[in-house]
Amino acid sequence: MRRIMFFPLVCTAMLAVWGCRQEVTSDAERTEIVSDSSSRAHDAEQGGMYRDLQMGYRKSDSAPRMGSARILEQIRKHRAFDGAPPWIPHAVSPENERTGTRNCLNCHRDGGWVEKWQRYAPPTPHPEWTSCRQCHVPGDGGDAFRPSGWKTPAYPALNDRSQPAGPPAIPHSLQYRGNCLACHAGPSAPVEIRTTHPGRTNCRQCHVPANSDGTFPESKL
Amino acid sequence: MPIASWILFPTTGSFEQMLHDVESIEGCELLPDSVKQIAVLVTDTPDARSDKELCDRLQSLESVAQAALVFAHAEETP
Amino acid sequence: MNPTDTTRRSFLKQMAAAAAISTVAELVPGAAFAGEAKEKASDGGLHWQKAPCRFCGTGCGLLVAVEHGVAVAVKGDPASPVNRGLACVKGFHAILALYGKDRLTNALVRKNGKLVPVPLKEALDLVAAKMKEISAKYGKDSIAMYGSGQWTIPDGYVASKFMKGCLGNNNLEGNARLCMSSAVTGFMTSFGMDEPMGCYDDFDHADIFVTWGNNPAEMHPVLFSRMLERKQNSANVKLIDLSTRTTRSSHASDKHIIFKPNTDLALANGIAHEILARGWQNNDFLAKHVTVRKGKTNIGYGLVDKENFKDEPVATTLDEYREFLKDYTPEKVEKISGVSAANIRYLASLYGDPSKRVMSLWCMGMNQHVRGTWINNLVYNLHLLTGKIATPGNSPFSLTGQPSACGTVREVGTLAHRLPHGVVTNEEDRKHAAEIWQVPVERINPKPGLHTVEIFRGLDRGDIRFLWVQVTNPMVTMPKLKRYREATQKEDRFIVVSDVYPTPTTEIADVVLPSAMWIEREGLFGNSERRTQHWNELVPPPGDAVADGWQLIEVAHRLGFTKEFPWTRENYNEKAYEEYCKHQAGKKHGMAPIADLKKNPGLPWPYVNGKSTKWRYHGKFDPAASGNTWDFYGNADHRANLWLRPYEPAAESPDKEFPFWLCTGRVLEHWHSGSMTRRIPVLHRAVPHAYVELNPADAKRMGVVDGDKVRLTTRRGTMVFPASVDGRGVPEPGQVFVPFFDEKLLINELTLDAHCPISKQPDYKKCSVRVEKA
Repeated sequence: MRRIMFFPLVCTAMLAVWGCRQEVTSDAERTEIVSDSSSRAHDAEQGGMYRDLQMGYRKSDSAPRMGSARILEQIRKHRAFDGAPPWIPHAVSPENERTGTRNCLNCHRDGGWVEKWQRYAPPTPHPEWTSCRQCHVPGDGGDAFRPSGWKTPAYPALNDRSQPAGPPAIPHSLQYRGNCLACHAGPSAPVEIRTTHPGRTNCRQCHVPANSDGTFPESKL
Repeated sequence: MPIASWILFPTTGSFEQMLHDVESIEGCELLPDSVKQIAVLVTDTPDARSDKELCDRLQSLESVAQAALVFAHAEETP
Repeated sequence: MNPTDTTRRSFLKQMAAAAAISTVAELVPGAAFAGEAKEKASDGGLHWQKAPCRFCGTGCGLLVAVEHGVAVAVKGDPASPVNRGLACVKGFHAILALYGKDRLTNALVRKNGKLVPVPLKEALDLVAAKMKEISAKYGKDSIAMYGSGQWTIPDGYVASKFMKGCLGNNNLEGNARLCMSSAVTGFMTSFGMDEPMGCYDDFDHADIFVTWGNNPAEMHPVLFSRMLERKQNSANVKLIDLSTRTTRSSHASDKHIIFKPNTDLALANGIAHEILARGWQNNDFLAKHVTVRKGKTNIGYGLVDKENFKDEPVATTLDEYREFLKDYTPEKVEKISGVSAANIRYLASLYGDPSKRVMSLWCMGMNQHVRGTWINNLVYNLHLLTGKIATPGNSPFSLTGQPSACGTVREVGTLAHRLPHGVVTNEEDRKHAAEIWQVPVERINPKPGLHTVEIFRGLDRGDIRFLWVQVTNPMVTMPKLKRYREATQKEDRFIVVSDVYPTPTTEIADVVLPSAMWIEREGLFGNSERRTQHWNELVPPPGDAVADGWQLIEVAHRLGFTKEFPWTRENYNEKAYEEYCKHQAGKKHGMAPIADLKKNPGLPWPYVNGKSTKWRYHGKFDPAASGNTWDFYGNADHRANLWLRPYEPAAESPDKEFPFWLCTGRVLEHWHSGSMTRRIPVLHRAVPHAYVELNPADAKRMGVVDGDKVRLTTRRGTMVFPASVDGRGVPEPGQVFVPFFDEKLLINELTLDAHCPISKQPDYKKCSVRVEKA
């Protein structure tokens, strides 16, 4: 059978509306980081279901209680540079150490509340790759072998828009990070980059890569 | 001056044939992935009529199981 | 059409393509469309350029982004058919290896026992003067050079031309001797030509993957992910893991079969016995394409200095082979190997099923083996018996450990008996090389030089007085290390070491030369599937650091060989590669020209008329093969050799005094001697030191828990390691495993230098050890 189909293709990830309650952290360090939220102000103005969180974790009974939300600064601590695979910030089970694959996807396939760590697991944007420890390794082994001169380069600015009301461009490579909602929606998404409109699942209708990222087949055209 | 992009799926076993067929159509540029047996096609035609002809021709190819339109752009020639 | 319009149309088309590609990315994970990394028009984006990964022999294509002369990001190249955008944790952090704070940026010369910085020119003058002086005093064969499969192709080629073509000295070896030489002798004895007949496309066609003493989940993670991908996409695909130890690969496999150390020889013969007993062999293939041969047996272990074993192969018959296999019935093999007769029959049923395409994979388990050549032969036997070879998905595949073990050491031939094309013992090959090198043919010594272990033994004995080590770290990686480290410190020995970081090898050097590393210079590597990859200099080298090959040329110039190396620092990579291609010209080993390599994410040889040959020895795929079916043209009779090779035990087996087996190897996070990966904080934190893996039952009996100190003692020495009881690898009872990357916990102090007498490759996997709670 031959037919012509017209996309917009619906993003593969399904978004459930997260009805969970997230705790606001009382951790001093996190409070400090959270208060430094200038980059989030813009998104916050747009409203949306996480507005209260984005405005600065109002610790009041009326605010949604949704655990300790992640912020960009924390997750950037677990990467050598933008685009590098994050290392594992928690202990791994002996079974995971032996198999290199097992257990990771229990929490990281779809995300969800993890009682043990008292927070939401971030879902992986690439659950089809199952040899997890090929790229993600524990990060708890203590001091450096020899001092490193590596400096993590600056991350690209958020809210790269061509005009004030325009949709921001995608500042990162889409390789292994092509599932937008895995990182941009849900309770584990860093608050700065949570979408205000997770219901509109055809993300790349409006958000385009900020640059061709080297994979662009320019030479062929 | 319509410009469009398509995803082409071959009928079973005719991936190479599909590339061959499509390549010979004027205004077609192919980006094949031989492992996944799938190809991206970018078409560039001078006017709406030739664009329609090209679409018809794509549909008539035995080697093409499905042609999915992803992007289309048309504007009047100045 | 005005130019603005053209630009706009081209922009629109790019938009159109990008939209389709990102849609495909969601529809079909892993899809990749070839496209060259190019500078972007838009500002603010990163500028990505291609380079093959610096680490293992998989040869993943990487893209590196550079800003203001500093590498800032790295990722897998989606255009590379090897990895299709994926990498492992080492590749994803490869650029961090450049930026350890203790990079060697100056030449160092030992004065009054201390290494002191000197100008590079002064150090190179000294190296040249010492080469002259020592050569005059002790003879030209007292000079030796030791490189590795981390040499780029041009650098290895320069080393070969310098040593063999200029100095007439064959004492040139590469660390691949410790790593791949059993693979080489396996290929040479079975097929008459080195390197696999298949390619990585086989991963997309095979139904059965059998890993022989191999842990690709950790050692070749990207290839392992390709196996898993194949399994996900196809219902009947099976992974079978044959090993002596339970690893991550075992857990991911459909079946895990454990054999006793060294008994893979018996196991392979047992499978062959069952195939023939059931009549599953491919008689037509055997009649047309196979010669049966046998060689010497009880061939020793190379433990005595200057022992020089030579095999004497004779042709025999299939009937004699059947007779020989009577010692390897499944029941008899079960007694030797510990593998149940049922499992042996099961394996035979997989190899023997004509509807299943089988890929056998191996690396150090079969190569670092006192019968390394034999076990390579025996696995080829299974593919030859069934005719499952050199066609898509039917592929005995020898994996490499170093990024250019194939490209440099094996293809360029930086081994004591080799020339860039052929061997030193063959007059025609010497003439061929001399003609291209434009040197008198008499200058090339027809006698093979010393192999690696013998070079270091020679240093101890005094036969070798000058040793130049480049891109490798023998004071971590040599077996029976104590003898060879002490040898370097004997009087009147001169050691030059070219490296990027201080290592245990630079510690014993008289001169240390700072090297430019990976993307700090232009280069070419050749990976496991015969793929040659080129990269440009992307960032400047630090301080006085300069490419290893250029160091060699500087010294060659000082010794008067300016005519042989009429190149500049800027152009020597291209010039050397172009000259090297002349050695390999022809349908059997033609190399892709450098212009084509610059445009592609690597191209496998044989490269004939602008096209890579994917499967060799088959007329359908290989322009060098005659006819429409198999043609094993590497051998004079155009047939592959099936070998009668018996099971023989390891050199040193457990006994009362040393009751355990000791096996050594790698871990995913660290590569080779760890001098690069340990300086990448992410990798070091994940595995900060070596350890000894114990079987939980043994640990319990000894009262050892995870992290306790355990003393290991062999006939070579004694050391204490932290125990790993519930870690990523589980040895069988009576066996222990130690990774070798840690220069503070050097397991090679304890290993034995027994080696395969044919390949001269040491067996790091088997010696006996006493294990006690410390």
